Amino acid sequence: MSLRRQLSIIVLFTLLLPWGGCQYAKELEITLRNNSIQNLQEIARMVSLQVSASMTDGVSFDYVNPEVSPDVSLLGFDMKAAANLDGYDDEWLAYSRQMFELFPSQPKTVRNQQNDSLARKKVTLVGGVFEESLSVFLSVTDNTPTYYNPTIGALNGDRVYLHFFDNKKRRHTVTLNTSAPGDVNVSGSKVYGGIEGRWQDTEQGYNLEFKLPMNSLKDEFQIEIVDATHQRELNYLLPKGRVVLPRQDLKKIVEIYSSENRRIVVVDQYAWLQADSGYRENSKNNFSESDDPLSVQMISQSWRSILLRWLNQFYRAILSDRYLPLGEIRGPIQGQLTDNYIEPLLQGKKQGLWQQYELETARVTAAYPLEIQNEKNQSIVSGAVIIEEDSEAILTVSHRAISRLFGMTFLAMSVITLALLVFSGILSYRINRLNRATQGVINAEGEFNVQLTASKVRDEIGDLNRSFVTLQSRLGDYTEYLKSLSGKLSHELRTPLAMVRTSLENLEESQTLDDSARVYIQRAHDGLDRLRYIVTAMSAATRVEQSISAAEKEPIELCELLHNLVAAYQSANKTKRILIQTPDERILLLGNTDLLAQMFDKLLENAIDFTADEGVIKFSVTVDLTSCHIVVSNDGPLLPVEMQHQLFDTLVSIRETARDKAHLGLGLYIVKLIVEFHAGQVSARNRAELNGVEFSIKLPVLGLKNK
Amino acid sequence: MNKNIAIVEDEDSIRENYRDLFTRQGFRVAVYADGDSALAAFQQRLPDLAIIDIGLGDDVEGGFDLCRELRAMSSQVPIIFLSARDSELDIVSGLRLGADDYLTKETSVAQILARVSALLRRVQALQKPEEPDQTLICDLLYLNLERMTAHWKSQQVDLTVTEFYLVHALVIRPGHVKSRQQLMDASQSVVDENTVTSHIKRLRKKFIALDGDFDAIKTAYGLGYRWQVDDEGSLRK
Repeated sequence: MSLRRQLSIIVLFTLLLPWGGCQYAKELEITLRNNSIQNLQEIARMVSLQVSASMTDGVSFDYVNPEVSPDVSLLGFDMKAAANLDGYDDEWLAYSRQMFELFPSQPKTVRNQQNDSLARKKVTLVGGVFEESLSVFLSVTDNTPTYYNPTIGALNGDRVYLHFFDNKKRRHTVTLNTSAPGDVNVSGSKVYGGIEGRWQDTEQGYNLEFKLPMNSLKDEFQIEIVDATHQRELNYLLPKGRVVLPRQDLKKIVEIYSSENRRIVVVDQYAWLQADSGYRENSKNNFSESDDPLSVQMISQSWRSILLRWLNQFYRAILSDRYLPLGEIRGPIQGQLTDNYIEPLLQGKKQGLWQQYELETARVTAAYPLEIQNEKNQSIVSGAVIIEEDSEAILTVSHRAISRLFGMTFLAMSVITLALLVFSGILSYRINRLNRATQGVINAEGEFNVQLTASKVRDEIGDLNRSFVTLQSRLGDYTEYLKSLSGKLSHELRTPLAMVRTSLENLEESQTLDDSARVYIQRAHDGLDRLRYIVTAMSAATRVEQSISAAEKEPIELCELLHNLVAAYQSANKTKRILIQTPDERILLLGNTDLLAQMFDKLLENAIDFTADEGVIKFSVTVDLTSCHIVVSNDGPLLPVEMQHQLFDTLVSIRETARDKAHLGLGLYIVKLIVEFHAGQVSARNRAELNGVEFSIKLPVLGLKNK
Repeated sequence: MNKNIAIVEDEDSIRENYRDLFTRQGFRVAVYADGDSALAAFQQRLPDLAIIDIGLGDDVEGGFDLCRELRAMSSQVPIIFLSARDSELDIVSGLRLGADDYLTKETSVAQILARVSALLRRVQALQKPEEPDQTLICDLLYLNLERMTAHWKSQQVDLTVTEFYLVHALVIRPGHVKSRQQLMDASQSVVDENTVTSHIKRLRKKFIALDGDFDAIKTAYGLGYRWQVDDEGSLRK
């Protein structure tokens, strides 16, 4: 794996940054929430105390009486304006309705046995108080609408009974019916007068909207619906109950603590709203209508909010949401509260709840039980104070924190990633450069091509670079020493040689020697001559180098030179067949004639030594645009493969036995020196047909001329 | 009259060997191990010929200094460098300092003796009137075999003994190619073929210094060298 890739993986660890930040934001949010829940609970406790104090003043929930069924009372909402008695539900849409599914209680005529599904009836009920009258909106499903037919004597057609029970449990009934959509006929008990209403057909059945004076509402009442056809009559009874009206006295207490953002509700032990104050009054239909503007707002918001939502979901998805419950979306606190909400409170437990309805909206709900002293001075939990507070602020803080966190993390990650990439790029570039430089330093022949430059960077790679430079210079010194060794050695050997030789010569000159002694002296001379030859040859390379360094280049014509040389070679070596093949062009190159001639001399010498009599030695020249190739090829024994690279080194010879004179392998070394002086390349290889050897020299060409 | 030869050589055994060899040949030999003692002796009395090693003890260039001093004292005394060094630089420096010849220590005593006799003879010959039969004239080159001097276009060419022998070998049969081996033999000096090349190079330079158009020593590539004056021009007249 490359360094760059490794660092890229390390970059991934910066992902821990947003994770950690998110954890922090969550902690922050939890703390804020807990604080706000605690605050609300404290407020709820205070309200609860005040409410219960006011209760002990003699005012209590009217029906603190187990005999009364609390379940199905009608709640009268506070209304802003009088309901328009028209049978349409426009003004009621804002209020939650009580829904009932009723089955016939007393089938009076059973001429046709109806099945359950047909007999079942859905009734919705909602009431509202304005000034001194209660308006009720009743919606009834009826697939067999039948109007009152006055031509039939008895009561007939669909109708609604209102049963009122006075404090002596006597029943007073008011009948509401109509013979056509419009105002209803009110008949029956005169005790509960002042009732008027309007009947309107709907697709499912009919609506009945009626108004009755407040004074008739002290007592329990029950609504009975009669679904009549010509064949049968079915009676549906709504549960008996009481109209629960908002307690204005309690409202005054809670109003002190409520605000635009905070709603305070007092419920009784049956979870019916007894007082309600706070934002709902200012922004009615907070929930039913808020969907549209919110979603429009969502759409109209830019990509940023989409991104934010996505990021939020993403983080909620990858992070444990243990501390951050997304509150189930409950309906508004209206009418009668659900059991699971009120049960714990009625057992005397305080409750705090965090609910999040929308991304940007959350609602804190706190509740505190309401304890009222009874006659026996016992505290009885008879209700609860519930406070809702919109806590956009907290959400905004945490969301802003998260979004800012994301922004900053993204920026930090980008910067870190970029920095690491750049860093790794520079690092691997430097290492690669060093690698390439060190690879190129020593060629296959073990020679230094270039001098490494010492890095000035003060780090480990710089150290490595400097180590390489030191290594190279030491190696270079050693190589130089090895190269100069033979020259130095020959120089040092000359003096002792001269000592031996002059001594021998002195010995020869003295007259006292007999013949046998002269033989030994002669042998000593022979050995001396051989030694002298070796010493000379050892320094020959140095002398060639010296003459090369003094040589000058001039434009010369290769083919002419080669033809002259080969002619001379042919006349000097009659036993070998020396051939030449050159192109037609005149090949101009920049060189030194003496050195080139010397080079060809050495190549020829070498070829002659390995070629049998009558063998062929061939000089051939080919040329392309920038360089010419001179191949000297001879029949002869093949080169050992492992020697092909060393062949041009000094003191390397592949001659099997020393012939007439010692061979120190200098010839080809001189060839190499001269070729390098001419910026060329030389190589030796066996011929493709494996019947000989060829030496190939490539030299740069100055230009070509036609003859 | 026995000639005085001064040998300056730091290596004891070689010095003594040379002393014995030259003494046996009838020379009066004075040997010195270092440049200072030699110089002191030269200031007392000049030798007829001096053989000087370049490296003298710790002074690696002591021979060059001594040569310079001696040449300052006398322009006539023949000086031969006899050194283990054979680099082109040393040879050129030695000859430039006024030495008459530069021999390596591989040179046999017989060859050294030949040089010594030749140089002494030349000194002698310079003091005598010229003998016409001892001269060789080839084109514009005039060689005096007795004095071992050469003139090109009537200007003296300052040649060492070795160089004189090489020129003589080439000129004696103009137009004929002399191989390097032949030239080596003629120079009576153990020089290898590379040395012949550098000798020829030096020779050309000396002639060209006198005559920019000099082109008489031709290279026969692969064979050797020959002396040939081009037909063109007025050189023959």
